[in-house]
Amino acid sequence: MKNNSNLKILSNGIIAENPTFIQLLGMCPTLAVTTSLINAIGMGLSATFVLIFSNLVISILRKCIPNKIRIASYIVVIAAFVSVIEMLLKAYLPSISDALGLFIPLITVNCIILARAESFASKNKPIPSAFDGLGMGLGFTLGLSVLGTVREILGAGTLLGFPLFGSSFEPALIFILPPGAFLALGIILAIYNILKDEKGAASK
Amino acid sequence: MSYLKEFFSLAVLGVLIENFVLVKFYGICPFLGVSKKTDTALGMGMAVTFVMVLASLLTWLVQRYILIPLNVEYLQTISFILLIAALVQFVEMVVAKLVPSLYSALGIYLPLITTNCAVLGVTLINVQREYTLFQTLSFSFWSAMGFTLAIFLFAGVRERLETSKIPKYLQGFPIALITAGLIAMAFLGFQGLSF
Amino acid sequence: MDNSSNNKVFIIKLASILFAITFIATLLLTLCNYLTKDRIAELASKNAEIAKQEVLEDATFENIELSDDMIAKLQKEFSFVAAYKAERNNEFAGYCINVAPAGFGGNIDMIVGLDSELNFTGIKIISMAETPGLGAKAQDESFYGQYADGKKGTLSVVKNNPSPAEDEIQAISGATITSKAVTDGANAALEIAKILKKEAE
Repeated sequence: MKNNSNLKILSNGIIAENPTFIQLLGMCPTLAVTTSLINAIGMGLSATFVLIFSNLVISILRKCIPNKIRIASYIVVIAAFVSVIEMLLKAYLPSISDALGLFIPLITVNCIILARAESFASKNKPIPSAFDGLGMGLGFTLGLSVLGTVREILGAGTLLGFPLFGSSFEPALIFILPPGAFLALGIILAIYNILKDEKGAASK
Repeated sequence: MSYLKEFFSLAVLGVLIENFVLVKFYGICPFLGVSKKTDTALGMGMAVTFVMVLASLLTWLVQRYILIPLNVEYLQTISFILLIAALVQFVEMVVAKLVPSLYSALGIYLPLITTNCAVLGVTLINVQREYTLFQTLSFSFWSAMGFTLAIFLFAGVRERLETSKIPKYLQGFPIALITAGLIAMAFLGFQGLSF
Repeated sequence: MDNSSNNKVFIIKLASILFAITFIATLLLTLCNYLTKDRIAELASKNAEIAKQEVLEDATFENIELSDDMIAKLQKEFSFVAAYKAERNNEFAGYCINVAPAGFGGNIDMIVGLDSELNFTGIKIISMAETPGLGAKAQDESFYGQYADGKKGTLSVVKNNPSPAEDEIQAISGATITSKAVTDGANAALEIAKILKKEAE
């Protein structure tokens, strides 16, 4: 029964309350680092790491943090885990660390993390909070990966760096340039709306 | 003279070439969230400018006189964000006490600024590029102006969008993003500028 | 009266809790830094070593010590990072110059090789954050290979020229800024090498 509810929390983050497609949170990295699939996955998993641990720690501390300094305390906890992942990436995955650049330290101000701390971890027990972090993180990774895949295929003609088409294929460069990020996400959201509508109509 | 030249070349860099919102993607949340009306967009822009310049000044001093001498640069992120959070809170209190009229205009935007990645972003860029104090202040001012310009332009377009006919599935965020993409395309044209 | 002293106790309590959290966070980071810093430094020096070997083969390198004034001047004018003198069989073989010109997504950390006549022998990019699929193509051999044997003099970037001259570099399509930045880096290294050679004579 208990496992069941954790699984529900997990799927809630990935599907029902997907941070990218439904809540539209954390848009800065979503648009900035999705120029390729590998960067998108790197960013998504880094944010997932931070989400799990910050949710866990904040949930453990939830009873000793006074209401007045709650945001400041959350930010310190989040910034600490961000710095940890920053150092780990630099030491063990330097190419990802180079490609994501400033957007690694900027995970600190990713609204998803603070929003989950405030709306979930500060009110729930540690284990469900960690699951919530995992679910939201995976949902975020999924959103980034979809956008990264679309942009890399259309904009560079490759996927994970492997060319998909012949050498005569001229990729639409605009999709890996900044405007392409806005356009691709806008169109994906519109398609998502259509799918949701059709599903809704079918279930009626 | 060289200061003046530097000031204006950083203006072109901060506002046009590296526009924080449309080219570098810092501060997208308020860009999409608070930009439905031109006057609220301007208010947000002013509040962000104020905090960005002050935060840049303070973090420059912290980096130069505390983090580097003590050799603890790995505490950069945590100390900068703590400083920004404290600064935002402090500014909120001071403005509320001294200039109540300004507070009633900007007050609602201030808490949002702590988690605006443009603020933390500009302080980290200043450090990464090893800007001098003068460059730090100029760059943070102009990139905040770039943010204000983007959010103001976008709000203008969105006011028009409200009265336009939009296909059902594009209503709301999708059309806003596509519009932002079109504005970003215009800014792409500034890429070749350099000084 | 009572209220205000209560208030003070409350504020002190808040401050000490926040301080405790920050203190623990700092301890955690110090530990993490201690565990990773050697590996990060080692990784950086290893990459630079490989890059030097690639641009000037079979040479041994020696770091050129410069005065602080000189370093400040070179950093200001040429985005200088470090300079190495290369020797082959105890003979002067050229210079490896580490520069970091500004690209689209931050600085491009690169090594430029120059032979004893100050002709380019090759470049190698150690790290950069250019856009994948665009600027990142600077790391493809089809681009950086252009800065090798036969290139000399101050280089310029050209577009859509199938047979660039000996001082021309064919730009990466769609990434003129990156192409220019890398070429600026190569030119800066040439200027630095000229100064170093003059000083040595």
